[in-house]
Amino acid sequence: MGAMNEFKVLDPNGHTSTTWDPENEEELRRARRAYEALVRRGYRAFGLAQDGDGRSQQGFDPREKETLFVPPLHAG
Amino acid sequence: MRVERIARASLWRSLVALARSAFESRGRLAAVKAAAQRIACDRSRELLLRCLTPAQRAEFERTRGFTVRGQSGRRYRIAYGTTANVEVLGADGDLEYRLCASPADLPTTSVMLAQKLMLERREAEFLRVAVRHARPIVRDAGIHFVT
Repeated sequence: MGAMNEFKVLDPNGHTSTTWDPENEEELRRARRAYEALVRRGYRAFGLAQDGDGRSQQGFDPREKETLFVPPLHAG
Repeated sequence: MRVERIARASLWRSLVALARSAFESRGRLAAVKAAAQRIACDRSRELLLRCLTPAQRAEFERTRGFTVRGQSGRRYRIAYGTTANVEVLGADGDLEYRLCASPADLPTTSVMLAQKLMLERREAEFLRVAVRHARPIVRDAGIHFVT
C-alpha cells in the first residue's frame, strides 16, 4: 500500500474525509468516480498544499495528495 | 372499589414514570446534538485555520474575520457569519458594499473557508453568483442604506 490520498468534503459535520490509495487501480477508479460525481453536483475542487494553500483544480489529478470539495454557492 | 382505586393509582404512576423517562430522553438527545455540533464547529475551525496564511490567521484571532485578495487584485474582508458577510473593500480599505454567496448547511467557519477559496481562486464565479447588498451607513438620525 502506497501513500494515501485524501478527499475532504465540506458538510454539516465540518468535513468528511475519505482516503484512497492512488496505486490501487480499484481505489483510483472509485476516487475518480467520486470526484466526477461531486463536480457534476456543482462542488468545486481545490488541491490543498501542506501549508493549507488551496489551488483550484480543473480535473481529477491522482497525484494530488489532498483535495477539498466546496459545495455549490447560493446567493443570499 | 378499592381494587379500582389501586389500579388507577398504579396507572397514574406508570404514566408519570413514562413522561419522566421521555423528558429525560429528550434532554439526553439535546445534549448529544449539542456535543455533535461543538465537534463539527471545532473541526471546521481547525481546517479554516490550517488554510489561512499567517497574516489572515492573526487577523482572524483578533477580529474573527480576515482579508483575502481576488485574482483581479480586489480585496475582500470575510467577516464572521454566513449571510452578506463578504465586504468589498475600496483602495483605501473602506467598505464599499457587501456580497452574499455561501454554501448551505455548513458551520460558519466552513462557509468562510468556502468563500476564501472561491474568492482567491474562482473570483469571477463567486461574483457571478453573489448578490450585492446595501452598505449601511450611520448618520445622526439613524442607520441608512446606500446601494
